[in-house]
Amino acid sequence: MNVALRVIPAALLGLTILASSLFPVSAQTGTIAVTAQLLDYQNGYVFLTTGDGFRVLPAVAIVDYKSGKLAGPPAPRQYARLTFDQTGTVLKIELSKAKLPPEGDLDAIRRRFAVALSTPVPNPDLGPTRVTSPCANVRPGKSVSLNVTVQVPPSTPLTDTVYMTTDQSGWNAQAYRMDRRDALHYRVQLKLLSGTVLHLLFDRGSMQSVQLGENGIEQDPYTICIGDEDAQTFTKTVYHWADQQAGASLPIPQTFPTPYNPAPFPNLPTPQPRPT
Amino acid sequence: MRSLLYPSARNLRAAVCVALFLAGTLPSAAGAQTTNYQGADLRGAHFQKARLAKADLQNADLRGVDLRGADLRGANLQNANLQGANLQGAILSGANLQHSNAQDAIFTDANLQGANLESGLFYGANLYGVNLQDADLRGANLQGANLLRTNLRGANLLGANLQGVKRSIPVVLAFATPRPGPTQAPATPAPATPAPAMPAPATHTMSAETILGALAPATPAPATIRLNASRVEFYYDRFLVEADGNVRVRTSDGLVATGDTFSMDLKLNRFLLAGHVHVSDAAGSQDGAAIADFLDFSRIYLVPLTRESQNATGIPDRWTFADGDFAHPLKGREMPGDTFYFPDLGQAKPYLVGTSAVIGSKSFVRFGGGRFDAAEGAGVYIPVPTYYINFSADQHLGDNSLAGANYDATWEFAGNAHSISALHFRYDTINKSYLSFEQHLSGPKAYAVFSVNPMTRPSKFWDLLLSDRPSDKTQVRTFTQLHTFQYGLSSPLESQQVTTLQLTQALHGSYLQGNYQFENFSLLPLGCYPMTPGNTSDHCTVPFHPSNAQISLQTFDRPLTPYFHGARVYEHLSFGFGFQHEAFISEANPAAALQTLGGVPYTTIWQHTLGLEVFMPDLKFGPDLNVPTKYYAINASFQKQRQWNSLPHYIDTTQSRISLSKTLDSHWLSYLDYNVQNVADIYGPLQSTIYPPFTPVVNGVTYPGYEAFHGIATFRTLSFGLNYSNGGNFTFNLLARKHTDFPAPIPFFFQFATPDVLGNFNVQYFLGQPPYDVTAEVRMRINPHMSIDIQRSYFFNYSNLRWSPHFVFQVMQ
Repeated sequence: MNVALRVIPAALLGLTILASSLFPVSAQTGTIAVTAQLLDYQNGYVFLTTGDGFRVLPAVAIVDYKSGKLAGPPAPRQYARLTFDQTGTVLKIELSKAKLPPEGDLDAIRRRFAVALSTPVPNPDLGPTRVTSPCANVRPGKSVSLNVTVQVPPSTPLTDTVYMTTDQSGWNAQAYRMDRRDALHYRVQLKLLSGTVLHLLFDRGSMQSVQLGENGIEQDPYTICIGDEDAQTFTKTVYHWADQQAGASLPIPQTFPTPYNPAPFPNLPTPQPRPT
Repeated sequence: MRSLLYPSARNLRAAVCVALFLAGTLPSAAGAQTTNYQGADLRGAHFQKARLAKADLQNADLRGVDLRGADLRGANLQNANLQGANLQGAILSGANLQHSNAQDAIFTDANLQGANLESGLFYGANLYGVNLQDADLRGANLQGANLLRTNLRGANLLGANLQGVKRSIPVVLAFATPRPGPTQAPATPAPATPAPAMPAPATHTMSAETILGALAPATPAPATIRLNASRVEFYYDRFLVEADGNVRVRTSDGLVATGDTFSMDLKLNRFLLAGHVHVSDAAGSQDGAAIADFLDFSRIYLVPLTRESQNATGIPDRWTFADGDFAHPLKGREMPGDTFYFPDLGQAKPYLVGTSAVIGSKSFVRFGGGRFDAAEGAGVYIPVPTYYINFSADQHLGDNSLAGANYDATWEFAGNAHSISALHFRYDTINKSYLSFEQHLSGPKAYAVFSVNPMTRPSKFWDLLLSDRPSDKTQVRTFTQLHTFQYGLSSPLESQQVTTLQLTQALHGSYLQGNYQFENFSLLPLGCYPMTPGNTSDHCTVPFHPSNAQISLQTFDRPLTPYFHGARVYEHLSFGFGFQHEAFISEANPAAALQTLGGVPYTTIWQHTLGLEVFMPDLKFGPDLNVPTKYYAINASFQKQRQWNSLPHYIDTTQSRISLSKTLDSHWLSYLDYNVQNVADIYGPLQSTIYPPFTPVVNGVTYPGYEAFHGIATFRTLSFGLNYSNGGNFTFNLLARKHTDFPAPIPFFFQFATPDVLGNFNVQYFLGQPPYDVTAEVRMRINPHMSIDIQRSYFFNYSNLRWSPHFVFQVMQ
């Protein structure tokens, strides 16, 4: 009994300390403040982008965060500092168009005060075994350096430029010019946001000279998910170019009209030695 | 005479049927087993609620017939004409509608469970709410049919044409259905949302949409979202569509939602509508705070203000709709943590501002009534009536048929998931500024591109590119270019054409390719077409019509050695056989022959080739082969090809190449490359006849060294390259080359190779190139979607040539 008398007050005290650390309660008014982004404000509720709704005092004070002056009704996208009373009712909404510094424990506020009719049910979609998207577990929005290296066929003309074309640039065949790295390789570096799913192919300046598969049939675009590490590398091999025939030997018109010339040197001087 | 009377007899029979029906003697279900209307003309008949189970209506003409509520269980309607017939609520389970024509027929709420609709024509038919469970729809044409709420579970849609169908929501939307609830709702704490994650695609239920998506052989229209708002913005660098004020969203599934703010990530293929949201369809409506649609996963997340209590203001809740089942919201189900997050746009300026948009899921967005930022980031907005942006993974929609240009600003003024119409505002140093037009069409297996370039200059190129891939191992491509010299669309003064046809067949370990090309140097009647009267030198026809064909085989790359220092040697072989032909030869035009040897003009030359390539990528050596800055890499290749000709000579082409490269740090790399090309045109005993000794005299200077040239040329190039790249924002390239060629270059003797407008030399084997050149290139990204490339070469005073004639300046988007 004595033990219980000692433990229970101690536990209550501990819980009080823990609660006070979780919720920054104003010493004077007993209110709790938190900053968040707004989803909606209607019918006596304010909704946050977490999807949670909170009761609002009918006479709630809606003011501008910076000036403290009265402000219009809250709207989606706006940032706000919400002040709750001890029952979870929002007493004050301070609005801002700019992102506000984090304040309060939003998760704890949600668990304690959010209003929802139905009992929470686990979502089997969110189980780790069900996630199949290549970008499913990537934290989006981080700037990531992507280093792309491609090995080209030895028949690639020395004077040609190699490009990378992507769905990100509307499949513009000259969107990303690559730099020669050595006799068989080209590279390009670019910055992309993590979470981006990129489809890409390599070409020599137009889609008529886009890469083909090893079997000579057109190559389906590669897919890369930009992860959330600082840098990512992507290396591929081009086997053939679409404008280079298999075992090519016949002259192909480079410009139009093309003077037909079966001899290997198109620019022999004049007078040209002619076979007789 | 008989054939003329026959239809009347059928009409008479139909009239008797109608009379019997009206007299109440229509066959009963039992009697229907023997009812035979085979081939009858029943137009104008009324079979409302008729009992026609197992009736034989094969080849019957039932156009416009009223069959509402009729019992046609097990009936034989094979080849029947049901065009425009009304079968609302009819029972057709187990019926045979094979090859029937039900164009524009009404089947609303009919039961066709297990029916045979194989190869039937249901173009534009209304199949709203129809039960097609386990039906056979193989090869059926359902183009433009209404499949909303259609039950297609177990249906066989193999080969069915589902183009333009209205997609299905299998069950009734039941937002507004009031349900009993507590008089005072408890304030249940909301679920703690887990860390942001995407839900997995639903696999446990096969909805009609899934079936459509999986089996549609043609190109099913993507889910479309029609968006209207006071302000619609597009952020190109992040593929975000943002809208505010009086937002109205209508999806192709029939969902209509209004709200205050809209946000869609086009790449993630999900949208969010928030603020006084009202969602509705034909069957009901619901108010709420926000709705998010994850299109890829068939999940819709709603924060409703429920009406389940008597509370006038409603109570917030969390509902999830899976696979389009709006009748059974999964209440209280946890949602992905970022479901209702808005993107942080910061101070970013939109690329485009408008008031409406049509978004094709994962394919395109078309804005209406807007203005776009022509300076990309600088906020210089130009109004356009419409603006289309393609972001699909279909590369063929970006397949260009235009020649290169220094600057190209593209206005894609129309398009959808499978087509783009674009105007190009271009500049190059030859044509200066001009306009071009390009049209793209693309499907899953085939695509086409048509263009006119330049459209506003007399020298026009009309290009048509077609490709089809009938199987994964076969591809056919053709390219036709028509050149005309004409002012506007006036009668051309010049017209030439070239067409290539290529067929590729993949084999095991190799592939076979057939190529055919023919050129018409003039499509106009022989003669001159002067621009100015009397000037006969203008635009004269050239009587050449060469063609060539080749069949070739190339093996895949095969390793010759095991790995050594991270590298191995590979080889592949190629073989080709073909001919070249010039038919247009006459006494008046003897020079048209391909070649004359020993007084014999050759109009056809047969050729065959054999080639070998051996190469070794990335042989590394250094202290740590896993750290790029700590090793050197050697790349080497060797190519040899011989081409035999029926005109007795052969051409040997040999290229040997080796490079040494080093990555200096994360920005800098350098390489040293040595390349030797040798081209030999060998005539054997006739060598000196074909390539006789010749001493050029240029500007009074004799070049006796050229005497040694007898048709065998060697090009040696030593290159040093240095590259700096700062994450793609800034790139610097320096290329210094020394050419040691035989025959040696003689100023003003050989023609100069002409680079294209982008500074690239298209001719590989080139006699007479300057012995030294240095090219510097700077490329800067000026915003996320545009970079500028500037390059220029220096030729070390070769025949008074120092700098290349002009800078190469290219804007890349």
